[in-house]
Amino acid sequence: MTRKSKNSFFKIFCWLSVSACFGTLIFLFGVIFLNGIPAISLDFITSRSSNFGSEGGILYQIVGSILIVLVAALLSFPLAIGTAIFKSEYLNNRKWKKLSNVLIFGLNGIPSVVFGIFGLILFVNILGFGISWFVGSIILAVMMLPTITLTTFQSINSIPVIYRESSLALGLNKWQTITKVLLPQSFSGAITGLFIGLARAIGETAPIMFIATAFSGVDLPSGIREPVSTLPTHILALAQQATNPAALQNAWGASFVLILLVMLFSTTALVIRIRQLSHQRL
Amino acid sequence: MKNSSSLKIIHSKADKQSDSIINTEGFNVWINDAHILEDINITIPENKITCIVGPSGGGKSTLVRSFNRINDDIEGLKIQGGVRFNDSDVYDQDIDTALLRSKIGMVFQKPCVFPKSISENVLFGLQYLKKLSDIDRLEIVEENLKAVSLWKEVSHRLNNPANSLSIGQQQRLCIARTLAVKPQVILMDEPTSSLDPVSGRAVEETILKLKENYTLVFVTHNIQQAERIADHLVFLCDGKIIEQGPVNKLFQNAENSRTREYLKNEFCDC
Repeated sequence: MTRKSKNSFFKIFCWLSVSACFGTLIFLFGVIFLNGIPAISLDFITSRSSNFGSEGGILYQIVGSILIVLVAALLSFPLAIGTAIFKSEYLNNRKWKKLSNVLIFGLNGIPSVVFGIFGLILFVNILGFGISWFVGSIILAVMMLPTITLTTFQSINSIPVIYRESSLALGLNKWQTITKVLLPQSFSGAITGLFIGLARAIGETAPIMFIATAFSGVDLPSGIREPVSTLPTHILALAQQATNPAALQNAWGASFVLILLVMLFSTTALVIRIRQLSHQRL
Repeated sequence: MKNSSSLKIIHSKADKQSDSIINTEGFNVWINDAHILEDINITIPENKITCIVGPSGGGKSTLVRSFNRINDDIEGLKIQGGVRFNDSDVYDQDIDTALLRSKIGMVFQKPCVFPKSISENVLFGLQYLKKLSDIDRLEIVEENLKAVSLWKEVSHRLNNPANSLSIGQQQRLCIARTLAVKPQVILMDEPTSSLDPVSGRAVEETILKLKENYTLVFVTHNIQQAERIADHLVFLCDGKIIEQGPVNKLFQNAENSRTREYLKNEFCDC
Protein backbone atom coordinates (compact mmCIF):
# COMPACT_ATOMS: atom_id res chain seq x y z
CA MET A 1 0.00 0.00 0.00
CA THR A 2 1.35 3.40 -0.81
CA ARG A 3 1.66 6.10 1.77
CA LYS A 4 -1.21 8.01 0.24
CA SER A 5 -3.59 5.06 0.10
CA LYS A 6 -2.71 4.14 3.68
CA ASN A 7 -3.60 7.64 4.68
CA SER A 8 -6.98 7.56 2.96
CA PHE A 9 -7.65 4.05 4.28
CA PHE A 10 -7.34 5.28 7.88
CA LYS A 11 -9.39 8.33 7.13
CA ILE A 12 -12.19 6.17 5.70
CA PHE A 13 -11.94 3.81 8.67
CA CYS A 14 -12.41 6.70 11.12
CA TRP A 15 -15.33 8.04 9.12
CA LEU A 16 -16.97 4.60 9.07
CA SER A 17 -16.49 4.22 12.84
CA VAL A 18 -18.07 7.53 13.64
CA SER A 19 -20.93 6.85 11.22
CA ALA A 20 -21.60 3.47 12.84
CA CYS A 21 -21.70 5.09 16.30
CA PHE A 22 -23.94 7.93 15.33
CA GLY A 23 -26.07 5.71 13.14
CA THR A 24 -26.79 3.35 16.03
CA LEU A 25 -27.54 6.24 18.33
CA ILE A 26 -29.87 7.94 15.86
CA PHE A 27 -31.61 4.64 15.08
CA LEU A 28 -32.19 3.95 18.79
CA PHE A 29 -33.43 7.43 19.56
CA GLY A 30 -35.57 7.37 16.41
CA VAL A 31 -37.28 4.10 17.32
CA ILE A 32 -37.91 5.16 20.90
CA PHE A 33 -39.07 8.59 19.80
CA LEU A 34 -41.44 7.29 17.10
CA ASN A 35 -42.93 4.61 19.33
CA GLY A 36 -42.90 6.65 22.52
CA ILE A 37 -44.46 9.89 21.29
CA PRO A 38 -47.96 8.40 20.71
CA ALA A 39 -48.03 7.27 24.35
CA ILE A 40 -46.99 10.64 25.77
CA SER A 41 -49.71 12.93 27.00
CA LEU A 42 -50.14 15.19 30.00
CA ASP A 43 -52.38 12.53 31.46
CA PHE A 44 -49.66 9.87 30.95
CA ILE A 45 -47.06 11.67 33.02
CA THR A 46 -49.42 13.02 35.70
CA SER A 47 -51.52 9.99 36.58
CA ARG A 48 -50.77 6.70 38.34
CA SER A 49 -50.70 3.39 36.57
CA SER A 50 -53.41 0.77 36.86
CA ASN A 51 -54.10 -2.73 35.61
CA PHE A 52 -50.40 -3.77 35.94
CA GLY A 53 -49.30 -0.69 34.05
CA SER A 54 -51.16 -1.32 30.82
CA GLU A 55 -53.52 1.50 31.71
CA GLY A 56 -52.98 4.89 33.28
CA GLY A 57 -49.73 6.84 33.47
CA ILE A 58 -46.28 6.71 35.04
CA LEU A 59 -46.34 9.51 37.60
CA TYR A 60 -45.30 7.30 40.53
CA GLN A 61 -42.60 5.67 38.46
CA ILE A 62 -41.10 9.07 37.62
CA VAL A 63 -41.29 10.17 41.26
CA GLY A 64 -39.88 6.81 42.44
CA SER A 65 -36.96 6.92 40.00
CA ILE A 66 -36.03 10.50 40.87
CA LEU A 67 -36.39 9.88 44.63
CA ILE A 68 -34.21 6.79 44.59
CA VAL A 69 -31.37 8.36 42.57
CA LEU A 70 -31.40 11.72 44.34
CA VAL A 71 -31.07 10.07 47.75
CA ALA A 72 -28.37 7.83 46.27
CA ALA A 73 -26.56 10.97 45.10
CA LEU A 74 -26.82 12.57 48.56
CA LEU A 75 -25.33 9.44 50.14
CA SER A 76 -22.63 8.97 47.53
CA PHE A 77 -21.41 12.55 46.98
CA PRO A 78 -19.75 13.24 50.36
CA LEU A 79 -18.12 9.79 50.40
CA ALA A 80 -16.82 10.28 46.87
CA ILE A 81 -15.38 13.73 47.70
CA GLY A 82 -13.71 12.32 50.81
CA THR A 83 -12.25 9.39 48.89
CA ALA A 84 -11.05 11.64 46.08
CA ILE A 85 -9.34 14.04 48.53
CA PHE A 86 -7.70 11.13 50.32
CA LYS A 87 -6.50 9.60 47.07
CA SER A 88 -5.16 12.86 45.70
CA GLU A 89 -3.75 14.57 48.79
CA TYR A 90 -2.97 11.97 51.43
CA LEU A 91 -1.93 8.89 49.46
CA ASN A 92 1.76 9.46 48.77
CA ASN A 93 2.95 5.91 48.36
CA ARG A 94 2.95 4.71 44.77
CA LYS A 95 1.91 1.16 45.71
CA TRP A 96 -1.10 2.36 47.67
CA LYS A 97 -2.07 4.65 44.80
CA LYS A 98 -2.07 1.68 42.44
CA LEU A 99 -4.07 -0.38 44.90
CA SER A 100 -6.65 2.39 45.26
CA ASN A 101 -7.04 2.46 41.47
CA VAL A 102 -7.53 -1.30 41.38
CA LEU A 103 -10.18 -1.05 44.10
CA ILE A 104 -12.08 1.81 42.47
CA PHE A 105 -12.01 0.30 38.99
CA GLY A 106 -12.90 -3.05 40.53
CA LEU A 107 -15.95 -1.55 42.19
CA ASN A 108 -16.88 0.04 38.90
CA GLY A 109 -16.59 -3.28 37.09
CA ILE A 110 -18.93 -5.29 39.32
CA PRO A 111 -21.99 -6.31 37.27
CA SER A 112 -25.10 -4.52 38.45
CA VAL A 113 -27.06 -7.70 39.08
CA VAL A 114 -24.40 -8.72 41.60
CA PHE A 115 -25.13 -5.52 43.50
CA GLY A 116 -28.80 -6.52 43.44
CA ILE A 117 -28.12 -9.95 44.88
CA PHE A 118 -25.70 -8.49 47.43
CA GLY A 119 -28.38 -6.02 48.55
CA LEU A 120 -30.95 -8.77 48.74
CA ILE A 121 -28.77 -10.98 50.90
CA LEU A 122 -27.38 -8.25 53.17
CA PHE A 123 -30.29 -5.89 53.68
CA VAL A 124 -33.34 -8.05 53.08
CA ASN A 125 -32.26 -11.48 54.31
CA ILE A 126 -29.61 -10.80 56.95
CA LEU A 127 -30.63 -7.38 58.29
CA GLY A 128 -34.34 -7.97 57.71
CA PHE A 129 -34.88 -4.53 56.22
CA GLY A 130 -37.61 -5.68 53.85
CA ILE A 131 -38.18 -4.26 50.37
CA SER A 132 -37.26 -0.58 50.73
CA TRP A 133 -36.48 2.22 48.31
CA PHE A 134 -33.85 3.48 50.76
CA VAL A 135 -31.93 0.21 50.49
CA GLY A 136 -32.09 0.71 46.71
CA SER A 137 -30.60 4.18 47.18
CA ILE A 138 -27.76 2.74 49.27
CA ILE A 139 -26.95 0.17 46.58
CA LEU A 140 -27.12 2.77 43.80
CA ALA A 141 -24.93 5.09 45.91
CA VAL A 142 -22.26 2.36 46.04
CA MET A 143 -22.57 1.92 42.26
CA MET A 144 -22.19 5.66 41.62
CA LEU A 145 -19.26 5.98 44.00
CA PRO A 146 -16.44 5.05 41.56
CA THR A 147 -17.69 7.40 38.85
CA ILE A 148 -17.98 10.41 41.13
CA THR A 149 -14.75 9.58 42.95
CA LEU A 150 -12.69 9.29 39.77
CA THR A 151 -14.08 12.46 38.18
CA THR A 152 -13.50 14.41 41.39
CA PHE A 153 -10.04 12.90 41.84
CA GLN A 154 -9.07 13.86 38.30
CA SER A 155 -10.15 17.43 38.76
CA ILE A 156 -8.39 17.80 42.14
CA ASN A 157 -5.28 16.06 40.88
CA SER A 158 -5.06 18.25 37.77
CA ILE A 159 -4.69 21.41 39.86
CA PRO A 160 -1.00 22.37 39.53
CA VAL A 161 1.19 21.75 42.61
CA ILE A 162 2.05 25.45 42.74
CA TYR A 163 -1.46 26.23 44.03
CA ARG A 164 -0.94 23.89 46.96
CA GLU A 165 2.54 25.27 47.64
CA SER A 166 1.38 28.89 47.37
CA SER A 167 -1.35 28.22 49.89
CA LEU A 168 0.91 26.29 52.27
CA ALA A 169 3.57 28.99 51.97
CA LEU A 170 1.03 31.55 53.22
CA GLY A 171 0.67 29.57 56.43
CA LEU A 172 -2.52 27.71 55.65
CA ASN A 173 -2.50 24.14 56.87
CA LYS A 174 -3.30 21.18 54.69
CA TRP A 175 -6.98 21.08 55.51
CA GLN A 176 -7.42 24.81 54.84
CA THR A 177 -5.57 24.35 51.55
CA ILE A 178 -7.96 21.56 50.60
CA THR A 179 -11.14 23.43 51.52
CA LYS A 180 -10.14 26.93 50.40
CA VAL A 181 -8.00 26.24 47.34
CA LEU A 182 -8.49 22.74 45.97
CA LEU A 183 -12.19 22.07 46.50
CA PRO A 184 -13.46 25.38 45.05
CA GLN A 185 -11.39 24.74 41.93
CA SER A 186 -12.49 21.15 41.52
CA PHE A 187 -16.10 21.45 42.59
CA SER A 188 -17.52 21.67 39.08
CA GLY A 189 -15.60 18.53 38.20
CA ALA A 190 -17.22 16.78 41.15
CA ILE A 191 -20.67 17.98 40.07
CA THR A 192 -20.00 16.71 36.54
CA GLY A 193 -19.17 13.31 37.99
CA LEU A 194 -22.32 13.44 40.10
CA PHE A 195 -24.52 14.00 37.06
CA ILE A 196 -22.76 11.28 35.06
CA GLY A 197 -23.39 8.98 38.03
CA LEU A 198 -27.03 10.05 38.19
CA ALA A 199 -27.50 9.45 34.47
CA ARG A 200 -26.16 5.95 34.88
CA ALA A 201 -28.01 5.13 38.10
CA ILE A 202 -31.46 6.22 36.96
CA GLY A 203 -31.41 3.62 34.19
CA GLU A 204 -30.33 0.74 36.42
CA THR A 205 -32.80 -2.11 36.79
CA ALA A 206 -30.96 -5.12 38.15
CA PRO A 207 -29.58 -3.65 41.39
CA ILE A 208 -32.93 -2.38 42.60
CA MET A 209 -35.47 -4.86 41.23
CA PHE A 210 -35.12 -7.35 44.11
CA ILE A 211 -34.75 -4.96 46.98
CA ALA A 212 -36.36 -1.60 46.36
CA THR A 213 -39.20 -1.85 43.94
CA ALA A 214 -42.57 -3.44 43.50
CA PHE A 215 -43.99 -3.99 40.06
CA SER A 216 -47.55 -2.87 40.65
CA GLY A 217 -49.97 -1.43 43.15
CA VAL A 218 -47.44 0.95 44.68
CA ASP A 219 -48.33 4.26 46.27
CA LEU A 220 -45.95 7.09 47.01
CA PRO A 221 -43.82 5.90 49.94
CA SER A 222 -44.64 7.33 53.36
CA GLY A 223 -41.48 6.02 55.05
CA ILE A 224 -38.05 4.70 54.18
CA ARG A 225 -38.99 1.04 54.55
CA GLU A 226 -41.47 0.98 51.67
CA PRO A 227 -40.97 0.01 48.06
CA VAL A 228 -41.43 2.35 45.14
CA SER A 229 -41.95 1.74 41.47
CA THR A 230 -39.33 3.06 39.09
CA LEU A 231 -39.19 3.65 35.34
CA PRO A 232 -36.73 0.88 34.42
CA THR A 233 -38.46 -1.79 36.53
CA HIS A 234 -41.82 -0.60 35.17
CA ILE A 235 -40.52 -0.99 31.61
CA LEU A 236 -39.32 -4.49 32.50
CA ALA A 237 -42.74 -5.41 33.87
CA LEU A 238 -44.53 -4.00 30.83
CA ALA A 239 -42.18 -5.75 28.40
CA GLN A 240 -43.23 -9.06 29.96
CA GLN A 241 -46.79 -8.34 28.83
CA ALA A 242 -45.64 -7.68 25.26
CA THR A 243 -48.68 -9.41 23.81
CA ASN A 244 -50.85 -6.62 25.15
CA PRO A 245 -50.58 -3.66 22.74
CA ALA A 246 -51.64 -1.17 25.43
CA ALA A 247 -48.88 -2.37 27.76
CA LEU A 248 -46.33 -2.20 24.96
CA GLN A 249 -47.41 1.32 24.09
CA ASN A 250 -46.88 2.37 27.73
CA ALA A 251 -43.48 0.64 27.76
CA TRP A 252 -42.38 2.78 24.81
CA GLY A 253 -43.73 5.90 26.52
CA ALA A 254 -41.93 5.07 29.77
CA SER A 255 -38.71 4.39 27.82
CA PHE A 256 -39.01 7.74 26.15
CA VAL A 257 -39.40 9.54 29.49
CA LEU A 258 -36.47 7.60 30.95
CA ILE A 259 -34.26 8.56 28.00
CA LEU A 260 -35.26 12.19 28.49
CA LEU A 261 -34.24 12.05 32.16
CA VAL A 262 -30.90 10.41 31.31
CA MET A 263 -30.26 13.04 28.65
CA LEU A 264 -31.17 15.78 31.10
CA PHE A 265 -28.52 14.56 33.55
CA SER A 266 -25.91 13.91 30.85
CA THR A 267 -26.31 17.29 29.20
CA THR A 268 -26.19 19.02 32.59
CA ALA A 269 -22.88 17.24 33.21
CA LEU A 270 -21.67 18.31 29.76
CA VAL A 271 -22.70 21.94 30.23
CA ILE A 272 -20.92 22.16 33.60
CA ARG A 273 -17.84 20.56 32.06
CA ILE A 274 -17.76 23.01 29.15
CA ARG A 275 -18.26 25.96 31.50
CA GLN A 276 -15.42 24.74 33.68
CA LEU A 277 -13.09 24.38 30.70
CA SER A 278 -13.89 27.82 29.34
CA HIS A 279 -13.44 29.26 32.84
CA GLN A 280 -10.01 27.66 33.14
CA ARG A 281 -8.91 29.21 29.88
CA LEU A 282 -9.71 32.73 31.10
CA MET B 1 11.14 37.73 68.07
CA LYS B 2 13.34 40.26 66.34
CA ASN B 3 15.49 40.74 69.38
CA SER B 4 17.84 37.87 68.95
CA SER B 5 20.48 38.96 71.43
CA SER B 6 19.74 35.95 73.60
CA LEU B 7 20.30 33.53 70.72
CA LYS B 8 23.36 31.40 70.44
CA ILE B 9 24.07 31.58 66.79
CA ILE B 10 27.25 30.69 65.03
CA HIS B 11 28.21 33.65 62.89
CA SER B 12 30.05 33.20 59.68
CA LYS B 13 33.50 34.73 59.64
CA ALA B 14 32.60 37.25 57.02
CA ASP B 15 29.58 38.64 58.72
CA LYS B 16 30.25 39.13 62.35
CA GLN B 17 28.41 42.42 62.80
CA SER B 18 24.95 41.39 61.70
CA ASP B 19 22.63 39.07 63.56
CA SER B 20 21.64 35.95 61.75
CA ILE B 21 18.05 34.80 61.58
CA ILE B 22 18.38 31.44 59.84
CA ASN B 23 21.35 29.17 59.97
CA THR B 24 22.06 25.59 59.13
CA GLU B 25 24.59 23.23 60.59
CA GLY B 26 25.76 20.16 58.72
CA PHE B 27 22.53 20.10 56.76
CA ASN B 28 22.10 17.26 54.25
CA VAL B 29 19.22 16.45 51.91
CA TRP B 30 18.66 13.30 49.88
CA ILE B 31 15.83 12.70 47.46
CA ASN B 32 15.69 8.95 47.03
CA ASP B 33 19.35 8.10 46.44
CA ALA B 34 20.47 11.45 45.11
CA HIS B 35 22.49 13.50 47.57
CA ILE B 36 21.09 16.96 46.78
CA LEU B 37 22.66 19.03 49.56
CA GLU B 38 25.89 18.10 51.27
CA ASP B 39 26.94 19.37 54.66
CA ILE B 40 25.48 22.86 54.30
CA ASN B 41 26.58 25.44 56.86
CA ILE B 42 24.96 28.72 56.00
CA THR B 43 24.10 31.93 57.82
CA ILE B 44 21.32 34.23 56.71
CA PRO B 45 21.84 37.74 58.18
CA GLU B 46 18.78 39.60 59.43
CA ASN B 47 17.27 42.49 57.43
CA LYS B 48 19.57 41.94 54.50
CA ILE B 49 19.20 40.46 51.07
CA THR B 50 21.01 37.17 50.79
CA CYS B 51 21.38 35.92 47.26
CA ILE B 52 22.01 32.27 46.60
CA VAL B 53 23.68 31.84 43.23
CA GLY B 54 24.99 28.87 41.35
CA PRO B 55 24.39 26.75 38.29
CA SER B 56 21.01 25.06 37.74
CA GLY B 57 20.56 21.74 39.43
CA GLY B 58 22.98 22.76 42.17
CA GLY B 59 20.39 22.55 44.96
CA LYS B 60 19.57 26.27 45.39
CA SER B 61 15.81 25.70 45.34
CA THR B 62 16.02 22.63 47.55
CA LEU B 63 17.96 24.68 50.09
CA VAL B 64 15.49 27.57 50.39
CA ARG B 65 12.55 25.19 50.21
CA SER B 66 14.02 23.44 53.24
CA PHE B 67 13.87 26.64 55.30
CA ASN B 68 10.06 26.69 55.39
CA ARG B 69 9.63 22.93 54.97
CA ILE B 70 7.62 23.30 51.77
CA ASN B 71 9.56 20.28 50.52
CA ASP B 72 8.08 18.02 53.19
CA ASP B 73 5.66 16.23 50.87
CA ILE B 74 8.26 15.22 48.32
CA GLU B 75 8.47 11.47 47.98
CA GLY B 76 11.75 9.98 49.14
CA LEU B 77 12.97 13.10 50.96
CA LYS B 78 15.51 12.49 53.72
CA ILE B 79 17.20 15.17 55.75
CA GLN B 80 20.01 15.21 58.25
CA GLY B 81 21.35 18.04 60.39
CA GLY B 82 19.58 21.14 61.53
CA VAL B 83 18.01 24.32 60.25
CA ARG B 84 17.56 26.93 62.98
CA PHE B 85 15.18 29.85 62.69
CA ASN B 86 15.53 32.34 65.55
CA ASP B 87 16.03 29.97 68.45
CA SER B 88 13.97 27.05 67.26
CA ASP B 89 14.77 23.97 65.24
CA VAL B 90 12.74 24.06 62.02
CA TYR B 91 12.74 20.26 61.80
CA ASP B 92 11.62 19.71 65.39
CA GLN B 93 8.77 17.21 65.52
CA ASP B 94 6.55 19.53 67.54
CA ILE B 95 6.88 22.48 65.21
CA ASP B 96 3.67 23.80 63.65
CA THR B 97 4.62 24.03 59.98
CA ALA B 98 1.70 26.35 59.19
CA LEU B 99 2.90 28.81 61.85
CA LEU B 100 6.50 28.44 60.65
CA ARG B 101 5.43 29.29 57.10
CA SER B 102 3.58 32.37 58.29
CA LYS B 103 6.93 33.52 59.74
CA ILE B 104 8.99 32.42 56.73
CA GLY B 105 7.02 33.42 53.65
CA MET B 106 7.81 32.33 50.13
CA VAL B 107 7.46 33.67 46.61
CA PHE B 108 7.82 31.21 43.76
CA GLN B 109 9.31 31.30 40.30
CA LYS B 110 5.96 31.36 38.52
CA PRO B 111 3.38 33.75 39.93
CA CYS B 112 0.36 31.81 41.09
CA VAL B 113 -2.66 33.91 41.97
CA PHE B 114 -5.77 32.24 43.30
CA PRO B 115 -8.87 32.46 41.08
CA LYS B 116 -10.29 35.23 43.25
CA SER B 117 -10.30 39.01 43.28
CA ILE B 118 -7.16 41.10 43.74
CA SER B 119 -8.07 42.08 47.30
CA GLU B 120 -9.07 38.54 48.24
CA ASN B 121 -5.65 37.41 47.05
CA VAL B 122 -3.90 39.93 49.30
CA LEU B 123 -5.97 38.77 52.28
CA PHE B 124 -5.77 35.09 51.45
CA GLY B 125 -3.21 34.05 54.03
CA LEU B 126 -4.63 36.35 56.64
CA GLN B 127 -8.34 35.78 56.91
CA TYR B 128 -7.92 32.56 58.83
CA LEU B 129 -5.58 34.02 61.39
CA LYS B 130 -7.94 36.63 62.74
CA LYS B 131 -11.37 38.09 62.22
CA LEU B 132 -11.13 41.38 60.42
CA SER B 133 -13.51 44.29 59.91
CA ASP B 134 -14.05 45.63 56.39
CA ILE B 135 -12.03 48.75 57.17
CA ASP B 136 -9.14 46.68 58.47
CA ARG B 137 -9.27 44.59 55.35
CA LEU B 138 -9.11 47.58 53.06
CA GLU B 139 -6.25 49.06 55.08
CA ILE B 140 -4.26 45.83 54.84
CA VAL B 141 -4.94 45.56 51.12
CA GLU B 142 -3.84 49.17 50.57
CA GLU B 143 -0.77 48.92 52.77
CA ASN B 144 0.54 45.78 51.13
CA LEU B 145 -0.26 46.76 47.57
CA LYS B 146 1.56 50.05 48.21
CA ALA B 147 4.53 48.12 49.55
CA VAL B 148 4.90 46.41 46.18
CA SER B 149 4.05 49.57 44.17
CA LEU B 150 0.90 48.01 42.79
CA TRP B 151 -1.65 50.25 44.52
CA LYS B 152 -1.75 52.98 41.87
CA GLU B 153 -2.22 50.45 39.11
CA VAL B 154 -5.03 48.44 40.70
CA SER B 155 -6.70 50.61 43.37
CA HIS B 156 -9.72 51.26 41.13
CA ARG B 157 -10.31 47.57 40.42
CA LEU B 158 -9.60 45.69 43.62
CA ASN B 159 -12.56 43.41 43.03
CA ASN B 160 -11.46 42.37 39.56
CA PRO B 161 -10.15 38.84 39.14
CA ALA B 162 -6.45 38.65 39.97
CA ASN B 163 -5.68 36.73 36.80
CA SER B 164 -6.68 39.80 34.78
CA LEU B 165 -3.34 41.34 35.82
CA SER B 166 -0.19 41.04 33.74
CA ILE B 167 2.34 38.39 34.80
CA GLY B 168 4.64 40.99 36.36
CA GLN B 169 1.75 42.50 38.30
CA GLN B 170 0.69 39.04 39.39
CA GLN B 171 4.15 38.38 40.78
CA ARG B 172 4.05 41.63 42.75
CA LEU B 173 0.58 40.65 43.99
CA CYS B 174 2.08 37.36 45.17
CA ILE B 175 4.70 39.35 47.11
CA ALA B 176 1.97 41.58 48.59
CA ARG B 177 0.03 38.49 49.62
CA THR B 178 3.13 37.17 51.37
CA LEU B 179 3.79 40.51 53.11
CA ALA B 180 0.22 40.63 54.44
CA VAL B 181 0.93 37.65 56.66
CA LYS B 182 3.76 39.71 58.23
CA PRO B 183 6.58 37.19 57.95
CA GLN B 184 10.07 37.90 59.27
CA VAL B 185 11.79 36.22 56.36
CA ILE B 186 10.74 36.04 52.72
CA LEU B 187 12.22 33.30 50.56
CA MET B 188 12.23 34.06 46.86
CA ASP B 189 12.91 31.25 44.42
CA GLU B 190 13.92 32.93 41.14
CA PRO B 191 10.94 35.30 41.31
CA THR B 192 11.92 37.23 38.19
CA SER B 193 13.00 34.42 35.90
CA SER B 194 9.56 33.93 34.34
CA LEU B 195 9.02 37.68 33.88
CA ASP B 196 9.93 40.03 31.06
CA PRO B 197 12.91 42.37 31.81
CA VAL B 198 10.75 45.41 32.64
CA SER B 199 8.52 43.49 35.08
CA GLY B 200 11.62 41.83 36.46
CA ARG B 201 13.14 45.23 37.23
CA ALA B 202 9.90 46.33 38.92
CA VAL B 203 10.02 43.26 41.14
CA GLU B 204 13.71 43.95 41.91
CA GLU B 205 12.90 47.49 42.99
CA THR B 206 10.13 46.17 45.20
CA ILE B 207 12.58 43.76 46.80
CA LEU B 208 15.15 46.49 47.49
CA LYS B 209 12.45 48.50 49.28
CA LEU B 210 11.52 45.54 51.44
CA LYS B 211 14.89 44.92 53.06
CA GLU B 212 14.34 47.59 55.72
CA ASN B 213 11.68 45.46 57.33
CA TYR B 214 12.32 41.95 56.15
CA THR B 215 15.07 39.43 55.74
CA LEU B 216 15.16 38.27 52.14
CA VAL B 217 16.65 35.13 50.73
CA PHE B 218 16.79 35.34 46.99
CA VAL B 219 17.66 32.49 44.67
CA THR B 220 18.86 33.48 41.24
CA HIS B 221 21.04 32.17 38.48
CA ASN B 222 21.46 35.69 37.16
CA ILE B 223 24.80 36.98 38.44
CA GLN B 224 24.18 40.59 37.36
CA GLN B 225 20.93 40.54 39.30
CA ALA B 226 22.69 39.21 42.38
CA GLU B 227 25.29 41.98 42.10
CA ARG B 228 22.52 44.61 41.87
CA ILE B 229 20.47 43.55 44.86
CA ALA B 230 22.49 41.34 47.21
CA ASP B 231 24.12 42.33 50.49
CA HIS B 232 25.27 38.85 51.23
CA LEU B 233 26.13 36.22 48.68
CA VAL B 234 26.14 32.45 48.88
CA PHE B 235 27.67 30.43 46.06
CA LEU B 236 26.22 26.94 45.87
CA CYS B 237 27.47 24.41 43.38
CA ASP B 238 26.68 20.72 43.06
CA GLY B 239 25.02 20.63 46.47
CA LYS B 240 27.93 22.20 48.32
CA ILE B 241 28.59 25.71 49.58
CA ILE B 242 31.70 26.91 47.82
CA GLU B 243 31.85 30.32 49.46
CA GLN B 244 29.64 32.82 51.28
CA GLY B 245 30.15 36.39 52.44
CA PRO B 246 29.41 40.07 51.76
CA VAL B 247 28.66 40.66 48.12
CA ASN B 248 31.50 43.12 47.54
CA LYS B 249 34.05 40.80 48.96
CA LEU B 250 32.96 37.88 46.80
CA PHE B 251 32.82 39.91 43.63
CA GLN B 252 36.12 41.71 44.19
CA ASN B 253 38.18 39.36 46.23
CA ALA B 254 36.75 35.89 46.48
CA GLU B 255 38.89 33.39 48.34
CA ASN B 256 37.95 30.42 46.23
CA SER B 257 39.06 30.29 42.62
CA ARG B 258 35.84 28.54 41.60
CA THR B 259 33.81 31.45 43.01
CA ARG B 260 35.93 33.92 41.04
CA GLU B 261 35.50 31.85 37.91
CA TYR B 262 31.74 31.54 38.33
CA LEU B 263 31.10 35.20 39.15
CA LYS B 264 33.25 36.29 36.24
CA ASN B 265 32.42 33.77 33.53
CA GLU B 266 29.25 32.09 34.83
CA PHE B 267 31.09 28.84 34.59
CA CYS B 268 31.52 26.31 37.34
CA ASP B 269 33.66 23.23 37.21
CA CYS B 270 32.55 21.40 40.33
